[in-house]
Amino acid sequence: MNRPIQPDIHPDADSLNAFVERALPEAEHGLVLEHVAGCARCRDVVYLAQQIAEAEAPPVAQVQIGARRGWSSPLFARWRVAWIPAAALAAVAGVLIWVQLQSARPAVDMARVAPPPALPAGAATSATAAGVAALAPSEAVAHRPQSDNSARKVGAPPAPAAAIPTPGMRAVQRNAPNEFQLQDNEVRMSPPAQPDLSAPTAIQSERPLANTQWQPRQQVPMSADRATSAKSVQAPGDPNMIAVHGGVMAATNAGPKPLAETAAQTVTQYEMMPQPVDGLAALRLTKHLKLPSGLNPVSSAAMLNRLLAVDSAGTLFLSGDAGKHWDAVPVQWTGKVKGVSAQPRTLAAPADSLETAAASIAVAPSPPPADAQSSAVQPANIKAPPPVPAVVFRLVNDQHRAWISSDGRTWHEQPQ
Amino acid sequence: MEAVPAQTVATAVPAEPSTVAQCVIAPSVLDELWRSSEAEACGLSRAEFEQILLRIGMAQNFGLTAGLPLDVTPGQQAAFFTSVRIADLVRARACAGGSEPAWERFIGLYRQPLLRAAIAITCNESLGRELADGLYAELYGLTVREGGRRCPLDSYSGRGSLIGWLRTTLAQRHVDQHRRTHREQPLDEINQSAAPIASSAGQPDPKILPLLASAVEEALESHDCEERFLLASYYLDGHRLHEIAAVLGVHEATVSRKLKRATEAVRKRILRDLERRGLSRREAREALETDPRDLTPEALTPGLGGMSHTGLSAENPRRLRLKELLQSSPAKPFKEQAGR
Repeated sequence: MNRPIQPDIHPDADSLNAFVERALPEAEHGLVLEHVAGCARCRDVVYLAQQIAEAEAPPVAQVQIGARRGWSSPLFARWRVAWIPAAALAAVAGVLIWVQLQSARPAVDMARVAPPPALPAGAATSATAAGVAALAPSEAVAHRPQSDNSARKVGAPPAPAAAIPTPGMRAVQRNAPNEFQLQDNEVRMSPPAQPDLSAPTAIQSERPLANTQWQPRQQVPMSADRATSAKSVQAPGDPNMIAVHGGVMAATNAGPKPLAETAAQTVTQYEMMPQPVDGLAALRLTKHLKLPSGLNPVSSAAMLNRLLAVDSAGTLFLSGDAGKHWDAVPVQWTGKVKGVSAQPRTLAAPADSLETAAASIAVAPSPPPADAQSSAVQPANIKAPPPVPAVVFRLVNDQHRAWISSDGRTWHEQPQ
Repeated sequence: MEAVPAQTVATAVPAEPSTVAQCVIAPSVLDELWRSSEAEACGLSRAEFEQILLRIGMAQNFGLTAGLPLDVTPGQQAAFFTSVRIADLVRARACAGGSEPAWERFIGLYRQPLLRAAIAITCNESLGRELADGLYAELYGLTVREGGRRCPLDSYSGRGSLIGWLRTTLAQRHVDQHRRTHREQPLDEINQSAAPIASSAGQPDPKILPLLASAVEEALESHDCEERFLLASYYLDGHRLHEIAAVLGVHEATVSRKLKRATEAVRKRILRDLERRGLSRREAREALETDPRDLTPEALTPGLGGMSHTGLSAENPRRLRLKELLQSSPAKPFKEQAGR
């Protein structure tokens, strides 16, 4: 038998090597350790063999470290610590950007979901004049915000009376990245004052728009319906820009205003009208998707910051703070409410408040003048018809009967 | 390459009891090992290969803690031989038997690693070559003892790697050589190294020395072998924590924690023993400041875990490091001493 360990005998090289390589059975390992603990000679042998074995072993880890290149190389090693706060900062920035985009989405949705309006004939004619006035090719290009101040002046040489926009002009209108436009916030928060269509307004030629606060359009490109409505109109008039600030929209006493300019105002007002949003898309305006009843909404509609939602039980809820708080609307109808909608906008005067906006939506547009040129000559003949009961929201019950409301709280049955 | 002295495997492998003839390796196990061991390339026949396996298995009882080798099943045989480095074992035994092909393979595989290891051990190229050549001479079986050629490769059992066995053999020869020749150190160096320690030590009380010696002995014997190995490696040999951890196969922090615990236990045990033997607390603490050279080697060597057979004496400078054990100050490792 091979007895490596005996009294007064050192373990042989085989046992010590197996001890170093930890290849001994547990019992024999204990014997060798017992001996090595008290034998300086064998400890020296063990430590020497261990050190040489470590020195001979291929430095796998070092080779791998040395072979690293790129961002993990020692050149960037000192920046590793900075990656963590940088990543955290990027994450925070990403969250902030996302929150900003989410908060800005309702306005975008409102403009996107709204169906293209059908312009009343008269208004369309009026808008035609203004649109042509605004869309003269040469002037449209010249009215970019990068241009000089003369481009912001109203009263450039008039365009031909029956000028038809050229494709080139439309291209300029559609692709102009810096088209002037009022900010969305201004549209929502401060609708322009209702103009008096009967009172002619005029924008003085050669008068600089000192009070005008122009904002270059940078984020939202020109919508297709707007471009369509703009290019579809044609009328003689000043090639002025159609974007007008609310302050300028107020009636001035600077003399009679051409019909083209009035129509231009109308188009601008149309741009600034509140946009209804129907369906579940309305609930995207708010993050509070759960109604007080705890049921899921099946239909909803929105106008400005007023939201209506119907849950699966047929209960109608109204929110006046963009969905933060909901109030159940008392039942003023029969049957079970199946859906609610907001009336699409129509070309009308802007409103100061929701009610006036609702009223203005319901105002029937004035009949179109027979001749735009004559309208420009006789603007005083244009009078707004008396307002009719406003209709902003409409609900339908399970018997296909409809109720209408101007504020979402008081409802009247709509005559068949 | 000079001719290897002729020797048969039967004589190269130490004779084992007659049970070897009665025990057989299962044919399936033998076939598998024959294919994987390159025994044929080393010039071994199948019968010689089987004899080698039988002798190794019998020597280690096929890895079993109980039972007779004759009762080993083929599965147990296969399990045992998977833990044995069969290729290295066959190569070593074939070289010990004088096989030319085996020696060619051996030189091709191990000559350069062996030379590098020898140079690394001696920290000197010429000394390293001399050490490696000396081992080669032994491996060739040039040493004749009792009328027969003795080859150290016969003692290789295949439990560790053959290159590890060669390194350990080199280390053994170097340590033995160092321990034989370290007394040839000039006296001025001994005086220079011993003078500061002697001057810093206080004058011991003669009546305390035997008490301290017995207390140290009992304290060291009260610990298990691993703690004594830690204490001896760190305080006596001056090895670093990572070196101790590498030998024990544990983490460096584990070694540090165990070492601290063992040191505190030794101190408390010595103080308690000294107080039990009649010393006051203050006297016991002052006794720990005693220069260990004042302790007699007869009293110290049993307490240091059986160092009597290592050749330690009162003049052995390694014993001086007992003071470092008592005063918690590390010393230079052996390798630095050997390199001087």
